[in-house]
Amino acid sequence: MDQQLPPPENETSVPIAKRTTNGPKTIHPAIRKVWLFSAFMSVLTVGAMMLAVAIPLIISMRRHPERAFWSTLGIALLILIWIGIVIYTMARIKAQWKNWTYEVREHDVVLSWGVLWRTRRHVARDRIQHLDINSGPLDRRFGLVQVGVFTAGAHGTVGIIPGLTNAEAEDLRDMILESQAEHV
Amino acid sequence: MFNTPRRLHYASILLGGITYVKQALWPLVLAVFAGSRGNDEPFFFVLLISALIGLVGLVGPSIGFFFTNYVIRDDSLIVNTGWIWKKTRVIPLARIQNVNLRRNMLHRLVNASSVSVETAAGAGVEAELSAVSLEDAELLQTVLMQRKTETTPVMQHFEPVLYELTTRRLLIAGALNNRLMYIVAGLIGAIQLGEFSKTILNPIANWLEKLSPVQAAMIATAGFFGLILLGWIFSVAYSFSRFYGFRMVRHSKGLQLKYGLFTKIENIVPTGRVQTLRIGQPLFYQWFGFCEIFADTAGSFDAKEMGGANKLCPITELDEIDSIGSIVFPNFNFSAFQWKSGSRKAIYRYFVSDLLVNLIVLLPVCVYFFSWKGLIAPGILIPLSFLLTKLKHRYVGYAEQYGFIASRRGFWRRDVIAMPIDRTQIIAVNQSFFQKRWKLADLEAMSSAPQGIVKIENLDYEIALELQERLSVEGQDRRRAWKGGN
Repeated sequence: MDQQLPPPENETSVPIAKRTTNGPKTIHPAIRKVWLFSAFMSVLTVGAMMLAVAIPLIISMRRHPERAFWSTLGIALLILIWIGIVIYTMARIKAQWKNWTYEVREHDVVLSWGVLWRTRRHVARDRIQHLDINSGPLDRRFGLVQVGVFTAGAHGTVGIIPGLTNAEAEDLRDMILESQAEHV
Repeated sequence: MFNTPRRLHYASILLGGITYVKQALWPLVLAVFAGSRGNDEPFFFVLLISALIGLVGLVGPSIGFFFTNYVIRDDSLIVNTGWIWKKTRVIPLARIQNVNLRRNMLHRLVNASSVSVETAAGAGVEAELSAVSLEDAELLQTVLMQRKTETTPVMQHFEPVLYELTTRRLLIAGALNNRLMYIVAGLIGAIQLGEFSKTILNPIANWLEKLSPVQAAMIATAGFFGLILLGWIFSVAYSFSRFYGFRMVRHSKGLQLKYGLFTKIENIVPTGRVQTLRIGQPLFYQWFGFCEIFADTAGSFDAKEMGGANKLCPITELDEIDSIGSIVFPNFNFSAFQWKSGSRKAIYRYFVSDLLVNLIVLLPVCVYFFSWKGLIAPGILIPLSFLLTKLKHRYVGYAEQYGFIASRRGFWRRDVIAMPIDRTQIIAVNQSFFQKRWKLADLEAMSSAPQGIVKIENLDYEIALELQERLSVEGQDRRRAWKGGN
């Protein structure tokens, strides 16, 4: 069908067997604690913002007792929304951890994540330019690091794999970068 | 050659000044207005500010001139700039994707040219030399692009001039783009200026008031069509000045594009680095069977100031796509692509979501008026929105053939993006919350060119995963089979 790319003519271009992860791997469960902490912070921030709305309502309830019903309704609604956000955030963290998988295969690296919006990304191994290993203060507290995968072009990071132990991250880096050797 | 640091052309001082004055123009205009209100003698004030701006605009670039130089050393282009904040930029020659020459009126007066250098990193220009003498610019372009020769497939059987835009085509291209909005914006801007509305608009309004309603309506209609005609003329003039003498020439480093009436632009598109071909059809182009063709190279960008560095062809007929496309990708066979459509469920998905939105908007209206008459609206809206969704999806589809993956979409403006499978580097399947219900997903294939993303929307989830797997393996196999390809 296609004439542009001739098939390899000799046996030398048969690829060397590369190291793979043998199936999808989940990230470290301790990442849930990291996410929980940051979720806690954002829930608190949202709570504070809601409080800023609730305080005028309470004041108006005191000044105009005849409008107490509407003010109470408003406050109740705010509390309900906040509880909803808290429940959703907690539920999401577990699903987020369960759904985050990575896999290094013969020809590509597969990253898959997301709860409501799910993404499955295949990154060609021979197209990976470099890898980053980062760790924030919160990550370090739980002994975790993140691995960022980069390809050429303006897409920047292709994906950041959160919640790996240092040993896992280094192993992953060596695994991916070893395949680069044959392309140099 | 270029192994000792060289300064820019003297014109760079003036150009720097002009750029600065352009930036300062709006504050100046504002200052004039602020000065003219309440102050009886604004002239002195304005003069002072203009003099200040002019001085800074001339002094800054003049000092900058002595601190700006460029040199090629150790296979890198090194550009030094800045006198307070010094900056040295080192660009390895092997990383350079594009070198573009651009000449505006001033450049042409003093026989100079600007040189901009693009690499794969990020969208944008990595180094811009605002003015270099024309000789040097052309030499620099040749030297910088030297390294690319090895990766560029050599095709001798092509004629030197591959494509030439005829005046007729140029006029058509202008005529099919009505730039009415520019005129309208200009008018609104003019009305904002107090004097203009006092001296010109008010007498017209007074005159209109004296006419009978029929006459006024006729004049209003004439005015409307007059505006459209004006937008049209403007648009033709614009496309004429921008693309005049458009020629695509085979160059040892790829394809050379030359065009422009006042500002002459000379781009080199390195064919070996092209990642995707894009074929765009705005509404009017669709009606008359024309299209425009873009070639995206790694790190290229589509900024207007660059004159669309990657526009291969501003206007062409549909049956010429193959011949132009195959200059870049030898086995590009667009007319033989067999397009598959996405899932039919997509139509129902959008129909249902449209319907829900309509109901949410309409239901309160019905309840408020408490009348069955409110139901007439949904009665018309439901079939209409179904028809529209169907129309919108008629063109959407994808093709996977001849070593390409291509997608097409759009309704008002149709776009086709074709990418050789060996250029793909990321293949993603995304599924939103809403798509999950319908078991649908979007597939995206990305290369190293930022704009060239082949996006296939609303495939069946299973088909999307299968296609993802297949493309991923095939891409690797093709690259491996073609050692030395990039």
